[in-house]
Amino acid sequence: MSALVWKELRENIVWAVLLMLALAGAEIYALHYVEYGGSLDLNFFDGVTLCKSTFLMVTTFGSALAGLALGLLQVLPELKRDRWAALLHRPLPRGQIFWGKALAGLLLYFIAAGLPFLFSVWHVATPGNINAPFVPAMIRPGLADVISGVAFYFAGLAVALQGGGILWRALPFLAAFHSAFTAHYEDLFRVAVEGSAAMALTLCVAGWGAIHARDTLRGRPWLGWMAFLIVAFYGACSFGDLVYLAGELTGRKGTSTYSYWQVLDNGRPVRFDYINGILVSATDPDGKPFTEPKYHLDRVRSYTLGMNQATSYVGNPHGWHYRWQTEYYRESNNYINPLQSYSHPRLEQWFHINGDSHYVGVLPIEKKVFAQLGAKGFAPAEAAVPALSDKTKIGESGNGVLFVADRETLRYVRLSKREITPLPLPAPGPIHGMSRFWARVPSGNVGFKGVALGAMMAAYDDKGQLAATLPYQYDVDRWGQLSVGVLPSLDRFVLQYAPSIWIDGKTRKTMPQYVDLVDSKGKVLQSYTCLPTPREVYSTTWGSFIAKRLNSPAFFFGEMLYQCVGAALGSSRLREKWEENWGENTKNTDERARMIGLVALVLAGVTFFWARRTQVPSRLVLAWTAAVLVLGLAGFVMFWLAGARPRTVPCVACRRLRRIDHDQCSQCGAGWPVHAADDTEIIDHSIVRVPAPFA
Amino acid sequence: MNTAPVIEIDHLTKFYGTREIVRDLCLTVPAGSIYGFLGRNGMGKTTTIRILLGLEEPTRGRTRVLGEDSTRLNPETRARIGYLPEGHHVYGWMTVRECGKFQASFFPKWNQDVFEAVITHFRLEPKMKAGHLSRGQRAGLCLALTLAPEPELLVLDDPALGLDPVARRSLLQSMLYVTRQPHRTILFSSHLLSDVERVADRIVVLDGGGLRADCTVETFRQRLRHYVLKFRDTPPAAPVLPGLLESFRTDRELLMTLANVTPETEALLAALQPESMEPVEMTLEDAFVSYVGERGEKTFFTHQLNGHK
Repeated sequence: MSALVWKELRENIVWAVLLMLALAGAEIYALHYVEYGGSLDLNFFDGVTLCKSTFLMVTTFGSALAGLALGLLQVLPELKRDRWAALLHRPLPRGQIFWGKALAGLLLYFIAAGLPFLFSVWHVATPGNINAPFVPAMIRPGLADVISGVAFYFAGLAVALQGGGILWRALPFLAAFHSAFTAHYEDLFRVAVEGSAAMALTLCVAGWGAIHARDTLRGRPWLGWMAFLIVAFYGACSFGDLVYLAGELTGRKGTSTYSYWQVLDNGRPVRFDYINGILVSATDPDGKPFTEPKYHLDRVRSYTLGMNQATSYVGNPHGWHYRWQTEYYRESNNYINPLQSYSHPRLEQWFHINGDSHYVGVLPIEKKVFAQLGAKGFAPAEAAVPALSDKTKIGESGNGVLFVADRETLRYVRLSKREITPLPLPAPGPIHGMSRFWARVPSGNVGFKGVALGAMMAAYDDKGQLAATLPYQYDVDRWGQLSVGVLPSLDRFVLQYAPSIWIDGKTRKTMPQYVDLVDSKGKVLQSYTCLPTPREVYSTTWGSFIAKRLNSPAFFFGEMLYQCVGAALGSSRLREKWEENWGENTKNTDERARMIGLVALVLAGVTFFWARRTQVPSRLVLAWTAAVLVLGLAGFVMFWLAGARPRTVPCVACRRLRRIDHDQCSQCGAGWPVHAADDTEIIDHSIVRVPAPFA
Repeated sequence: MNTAPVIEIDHLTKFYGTREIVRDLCLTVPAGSIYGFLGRNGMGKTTTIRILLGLEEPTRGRTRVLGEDSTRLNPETRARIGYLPEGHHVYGWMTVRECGKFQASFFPKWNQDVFEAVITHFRLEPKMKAGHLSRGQRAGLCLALTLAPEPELLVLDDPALGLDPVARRSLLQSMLYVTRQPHRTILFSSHLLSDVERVADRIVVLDGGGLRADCTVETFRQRLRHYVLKFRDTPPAAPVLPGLLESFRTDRELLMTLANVTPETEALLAALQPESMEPVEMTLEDAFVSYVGERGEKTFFTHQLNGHK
């Protein structure tokens, strides 16, 4: 087999090297590409270093293309009938021929896609190249793409090895596409990698099976055809992805409506109603439109307060844990957060490193780390920095100012001066959260920091001075989503009370909100009750609508069962998902469940009759019908493409269809017509003369 | 001497889609014989060979090679079968020596002396790039690669395909010189009888997917007759005769090619009352072309061209 590996390497190394150069060039370009950027690469709108969306676009498509191309190039040129026959006739088990190709191909793929990625990692990790610190965990998205490319490599091999029609051949590619699509939208890195690796392994086994018998499943080892059926299933699932994507690209969106409360710069609440993203009304708590010209519909949004939510619940009386951060492994803010993300030139750029929570300062011109900030204050670049506690809350106030809050203490940090100043709290802790809010004044924005304590909201200005204390006026156990703002006069503050996040969505939607206008001492000047807003209606494309209803019953009901059991066993993540489906969206989910069941039932019926008509053996008719019932459209596509329906031709005797691989017609029992002799045949079965040994 | 069958084909039928390529073929090839496998293009020769070697599945029927079912040939049996597919594929980036080394790694019984003898015979240098060889040289290299493992059964699928007549003749002669070994069975396909007439013990002719001839070359030559019947006037249309392959009618002549002629057939010809009836000697090539060519009557009348009656 080593000879085969050597031959494959020699034959395809040129392609691998060309792909490597192309990918390496594209990745380095993407790392340095700055959208709307200035010369200092200080714009992080696109993400940071190895998680930049431009970079990940290159790794996603580049790895997939490199894998697919290598898989196809290893087999297609050799598929000409005589070449392939010469290869297969070698005295090796066919499996070994496949493994010879696969081993060499994996090595070539590593050269083509793995090396450029490693080079990019090295480039980012080497000081002086990139304006951001290197965070090892940020290799995850790119690594997931490279692993996903392995699935495409085996898909390429399997596509080339499969005989038959175009859709039958395309199934492995579609399966890899579906796997990559799913991995791309998966939140957790581990799950994405496991999914891609499992698909790569399945495609590998399916390819190994295909080398034994290209056109049909018959003749493949049982493991090979099992793997192929899985591949066919996922390939068929990708039709849903394609419908979804087609809908996204071409489809008209349905109507979406949503409403929310904000506060105007005069301290009065305003309800904004949107249809399809367009503001259609702005009304006060009594439901009346505003008469002042500046609050006219086309400009009212310019006169709202710069408010932010300081906390989503006060305390934790119900043992409820809120996942405040989306754990989407492809987003850079999961690993690192730049303090400022605009393009203005600045002398220092600070980043918060999420993993072992601390800050890192980078010099934009030298592109080197120059200082760090951890639990014990500032430290030089090379020092080991103890992480801030995971209970530490950090509020960034722009201009290199941080408010760092532990449970009971608040510190004011000026990064540029390397100063840390403790700030007195107006009331005992614990600190539940912080938010930045600001007022628009003619000279610019004036920023404040709201610190949510147990009984009041404390407001500090950007210099760390206590500007206001705002005691709570409502039951913050139930109305614990607290937002704070300030009027342009800077002496009036606004506290907005929304229902706590731990309350279930259904109940939350029936609860009003409250808005208090208060002075800096906390005296309530005006109080407003804001009625609950109607439920949001999200638009979907026709593609999304159809794709959701063509889902496999096994997937849909299996997922529901998984969420239900997980929620019952205490998983907050699964409980959230369960509530998403069966809380506010019960009607929608119920309708989907019925439609999925109905589609599966109809398709199972079609399968049953079609299979019988094409003389599929009775046992298989039942098996395929059951498979379609369980797998829905994907099962039907599998039956259509991979069902290995027997070929039939009209019977000469009874004119009905008969199987070409059976000696007798199953309808009338007739054999095949004997080739009529026409007296020109020359058949002479006399003893064969065996030649004498050659001298 | 062992004359046990090396190849057994039992009611083999192969469909591509719903098109029947090989129909109910039965054939036995004993050990030590050289079989010419003949037929026009698309008549199922290559398909049959591919099924024999387990490269394709039969639709119905079964085939055995060296006593083993073709669909389950194990690597040891494959090592005993030399297969030279049509097209003479070699990896163009390898040198002649590398080709040999690469091939040798798969065969436990690789005979380097045979390899070197054959490439010397075809005047190939070990350092020559396979991609730079002429078609004839490439065919020689492929032959060396096929023979060096010293196979018991040699299956050659149209080895002279694509070569000019000189190269074809040269290759076939040299090939026969180097391939003929005691106890080696050879199945040699071609669409030209002239390729195999000098070497084959027996020929098998496939036509329309079915077996039409399985005999020695001599028998084949003897069983085909060509008659020229001369008439005083326009000859009558050729009658329906048993074994009639083709007829050609001109102003005064009726030319007929027949297979398996019996005295009864000749009597039927005489009943047409020609002025004269002469059996004409046919070359083997002509006989073969008539045998696998289009059936039926063809005419050519000069009086129709000139407008005369």
